[in-house]
Amino acid sequence: MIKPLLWKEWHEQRWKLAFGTFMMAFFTGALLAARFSSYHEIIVAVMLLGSLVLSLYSAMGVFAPEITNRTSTFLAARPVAPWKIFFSKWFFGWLNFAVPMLICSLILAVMVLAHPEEELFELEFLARVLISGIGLGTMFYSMTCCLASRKSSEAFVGFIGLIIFVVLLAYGLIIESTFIDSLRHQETVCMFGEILSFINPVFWIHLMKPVSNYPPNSVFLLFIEQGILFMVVILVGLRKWQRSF
Amino acid sequence: MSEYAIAIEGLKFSYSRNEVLKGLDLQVPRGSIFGFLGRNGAGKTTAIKLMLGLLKPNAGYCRIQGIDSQKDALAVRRIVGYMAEDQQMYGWMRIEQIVKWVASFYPGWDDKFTNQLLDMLELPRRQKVKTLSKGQNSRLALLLALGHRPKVVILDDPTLGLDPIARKDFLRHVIDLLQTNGVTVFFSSHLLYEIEPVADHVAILDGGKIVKQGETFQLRESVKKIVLLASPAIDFSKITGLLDVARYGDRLALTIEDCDASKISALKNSSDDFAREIRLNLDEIFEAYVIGNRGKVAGV
Repeated sequence: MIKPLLWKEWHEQRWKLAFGTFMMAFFTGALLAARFSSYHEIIVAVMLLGSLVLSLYSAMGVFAPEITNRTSTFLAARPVAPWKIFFSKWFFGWLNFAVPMLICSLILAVMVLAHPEEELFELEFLARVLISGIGLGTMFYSMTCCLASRKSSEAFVGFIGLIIFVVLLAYGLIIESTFIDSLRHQETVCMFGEILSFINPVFWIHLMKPVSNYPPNSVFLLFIEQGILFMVVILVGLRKWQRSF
Repeated sequence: MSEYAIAIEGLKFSYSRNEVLKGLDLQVPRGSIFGFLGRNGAGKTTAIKLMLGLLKPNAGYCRIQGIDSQKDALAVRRIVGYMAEDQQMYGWMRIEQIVKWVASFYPGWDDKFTNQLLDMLELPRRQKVKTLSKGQNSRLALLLALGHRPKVVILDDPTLGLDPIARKDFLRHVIDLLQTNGVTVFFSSHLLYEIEPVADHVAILDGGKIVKQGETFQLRESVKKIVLLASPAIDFSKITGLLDVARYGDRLALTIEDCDASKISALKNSSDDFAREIRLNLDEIFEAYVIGNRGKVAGV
C-alpha cells in the first residue's frame, strides 16, 4: 500500500531533487575550479551547504504544500495508515538533500581516484564529511519538517527552521564554552559533558574532524543520542501532522 | 448487525478551547439518504472527520456499519466513499492517473464500474485535474468516492461553489447512482432546497448538538406555523415545543414542533381569532430550529 504513496511523492518531488543535485554539483564544481581555498575546506563548505540549506529547502516542501492545496484530507481519507503517508513524504524530502550530497561525494571520489598522483584529499575524510553532513542534515530537516508539520506556509516552515538552527547553534556554543577549559587543558571531557554535547545535532560536525579530547566511544554515544532524538522528533511530527486534517 | 449504517453517541470534540461538538447523538438507518443540516461552522465537517477517524473525539463513539471509527479507522475508510467539501485533488495528475492511483488503495475497486462512471459523468480520461471545471471536479470526486462500491457514501457539502445548473446536474447523478443501489448516503449541506427533494431522513445540527432528527416527511408534518390574533392570554412559556414567534401587525405566527391536535385546540382557546395553520418546507423548519427565538424576544 505504500507503493502508490511513493509514486505520488516521486512525481511531486523529482524536479526538486534534480534542482538540488544540479545546484550542489554546480557549486562544488565552481568552488573547485576557482580554487579559492583548500580542497578540504571546499568539501566541508559544500557538505554544510547541503546539510543546512538544501535540507531546509526540502523541509519547506514536505507537508506545507499538501496543507495549502487542501489535498491532505483527500490523502488522509484513503484507507492507508497515517505513518505510511508520513513516512513517504518524509523520505522523499530526505532524498532531496541526501541524494545531491551523495552524488557530489561520488563525483569528488571519482576525482580522487582518477588522479591518485595529485593526492587531492583522503577518501576517508570525504566519507566522514559525507556522513556528518547527512547526519546533521537529517536531524535539521526532520526537526524542521516535523515541528512545523501543521503549518501551511512554506515560508513559515523555513522561518521555524531558521529558529531551530539558531537555537541549536546557541546551545552548541554554550556547551563548547562550558567544556572549553577541559579541552584547553587536554583533559578528557566528562560523561555528563558528552551527553549534553551529543544530544545537539550540530555536534555531527565533530565527525568531520573528531575532537581528540572526547573519548573514543563518543561517536557511538553521538549515534545513540541522535537516534533517540530522531525517534522523538519523528513521533512528535507524526502526531502533529495527524492533527492537521 | 446494527440496523443503523452510522451510529454516533455522545460525541464531543473541541479545537483547543472551542467546543465544536457537545455530545452528538445520531442514527442513520441503512439504505437511507440522510440529510445532515447545519449552518456554516456548525460542526458538520468536524463530525464527518470524526466518523472517518481523521480526528480523535474527546468523548463518545462513532460506528459505521458496526465498525468503531477510532478503533479501526482503516476498515471504516475501506467501506466508506467520502467526498469532502470543495474537494481538492492533485492537479498534476490526469483523470486516468488519479483514478488508477486511488484504486490502488482499495482491494475491491471496480474497474468496470469506474469506466462506466467515466463515460456517464463525461470525464475525459486524458485531461489533467487542474484543468477541470468546478462541475467536472465535483463529478470526478464523486467517481473517486464510488469506485470501490462503498456501503456508505459521505458527501460533505458536495455542491459547494457550483453554479445552479452544475449543482442540479451533480444531484441528478447522485440520485441516479445511489438511490437504487441500497447504499446509505450521508449528505451534509447548508443548502436545504438541495437536500429536501432527495433526503428521506434529516438531522439538524446546531450549537454542537442535534436539535432535531427524523424522517423528512414526519418533520414536515410535525412542525407547523400557527397564525393567530395576538392576545395577552397567550402564555408562551406554556406552549411546549415552541420554536419561533414572529409578529405581523396584530397577528402572531408561532412555529411549533410536534404540533398535534391538542396543541392546536389549546391555542384556539387562548386566542379570539384563530386564523390558520401553515405547513412549512424544510428551509423554514430549519430556520425555526436554528434561529427561532422560542418566544423570548421582547416586544413579541
